[in-house]
Amino acid sequence: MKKILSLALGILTAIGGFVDIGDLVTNAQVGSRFGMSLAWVVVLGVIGIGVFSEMSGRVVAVSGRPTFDVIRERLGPRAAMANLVGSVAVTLLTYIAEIGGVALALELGTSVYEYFWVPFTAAAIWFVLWRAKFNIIENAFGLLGLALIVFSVALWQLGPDWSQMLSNAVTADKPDAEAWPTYFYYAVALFGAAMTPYEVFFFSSGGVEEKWSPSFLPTMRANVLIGFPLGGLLSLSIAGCAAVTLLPAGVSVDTLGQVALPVVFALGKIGLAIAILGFFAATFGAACETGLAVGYSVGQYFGWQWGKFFRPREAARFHAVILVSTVLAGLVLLTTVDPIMVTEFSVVFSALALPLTYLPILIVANDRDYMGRHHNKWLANTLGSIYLVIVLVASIAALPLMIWTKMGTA
Amino acid sequence: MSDPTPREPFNANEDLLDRQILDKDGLMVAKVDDVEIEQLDDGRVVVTGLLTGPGALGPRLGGFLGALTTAAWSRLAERPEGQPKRIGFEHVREIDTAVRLDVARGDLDVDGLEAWTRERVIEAIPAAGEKPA
Repeated sequence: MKKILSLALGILTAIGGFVDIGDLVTNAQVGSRFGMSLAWVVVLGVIGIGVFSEMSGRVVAVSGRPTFDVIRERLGPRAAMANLVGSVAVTLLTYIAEIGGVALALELGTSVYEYFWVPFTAAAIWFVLWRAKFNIIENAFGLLGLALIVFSVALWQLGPDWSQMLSNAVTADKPDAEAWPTYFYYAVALFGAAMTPYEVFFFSSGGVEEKWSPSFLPTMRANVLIGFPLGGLLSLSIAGCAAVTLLPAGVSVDTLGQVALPVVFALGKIGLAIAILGFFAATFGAACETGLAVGYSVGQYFGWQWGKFFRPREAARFHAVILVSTVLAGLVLLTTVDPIMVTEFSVVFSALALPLTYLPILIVANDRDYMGRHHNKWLANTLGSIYLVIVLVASIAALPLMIWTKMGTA
Repeated sequence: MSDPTPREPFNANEDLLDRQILDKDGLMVAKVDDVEIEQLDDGRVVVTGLLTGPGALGPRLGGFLGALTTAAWSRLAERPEGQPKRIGFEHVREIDTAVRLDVARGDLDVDGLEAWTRERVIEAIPAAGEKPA
């Protein structure tokens, strides 16, 4: 019974924790402009994050070594340093976007100006990372994030023509008004939002925090293979809501309020309240994860003591990195930069940085010295190799498409 | 890798460099940033120590960043360049996916920056010594 409960909890938190500010904004933008014609990218991204999370989770359960530890060991100090700089830059950008997302959710709920909330949000996130246990961070925000199911309910209430939606999705039927380069720019952004590198750093380091052993592998796989696809359904619901209401009305998504608009049409005030709670939980939880991911990556490169399973004084440099990143992220937001714009940059740069994380994981998951009998089999290797190609294409295309389409505005 | 003891031949480049070092309680100490080797009279080469910290990492990074790392460390740690912090190989108990030592982290003098950060920054914040709740 206890095992079933913990399995259920793991799956629920995987669903609720799947969506972050990048998914919220990008899915709503894509739905409002392209309908369901980019749904295939969400499916592609969900399978991809599943494949690589399973691989990194297996590496950590068998060898005890999390992702950046492995990157340094495989690539050596020079290439791993270049990787660290790139990965941390993207994760910091995401951290800024998530903190900004929390502030936007609070503004939506209170009508108090977003930048007023920034210092309090940053301080609250830091306090949680300083004092709260790892599994509390993971479970509390993962469960609260389930409030985003309100988007699925709203979509059902809006009563769309399901066969029309499905046919749009299957035939990738883009609206004629949009150009192909813009279409592919948003495809890359959506892919980057679904597969953000911090998720793998956080997931694999969480394996050390929770002391996974090979006996934990079935549970880990259930979380990934059931939880992530259901989380992906939330992403699709957000896009679907926007496709049904905002696309015909010609509304483009530039604020978090517009992401919630379809829920207001469908369910009124109570729907909005639940959506705001979901926004808050999803962004606050993801902010904690990205903040930790910065500390994890730096700590693992240098071999410092890191982790939430110790007192802060026993992992001093790790906590110093988190403190400095949080202050920095807060200061960047206080320049009154638009969090939605930071989010748009963060998902594209995530796509750009993806190969840095995924290639080393694929190599180590094949290493029998490390993995013993748990090394990659044909299925993981076939999928892993296909995804490496997809990830490389997305990475190479990201910047040219961004410039060509002027970030999707052309 | 099937449990190589320090006295058996092994590939220091592949099995030792850039691995995580853990102390006797499993606490993280450092990365193996470099190794100290010595040639015996019979021509065999043995590893005599693990070199850790920015003083050992800098030369391996190379270039401007490497030189800056080494120079900054040398100033702050008040040690000459080329003499990084070291852990004698006699303390290595086991090498698998990590390098495990037979001493406690606190008994090694290898983490000057950690101690500085702990004393000057982290312990100044309330609840630094309490377990997360």
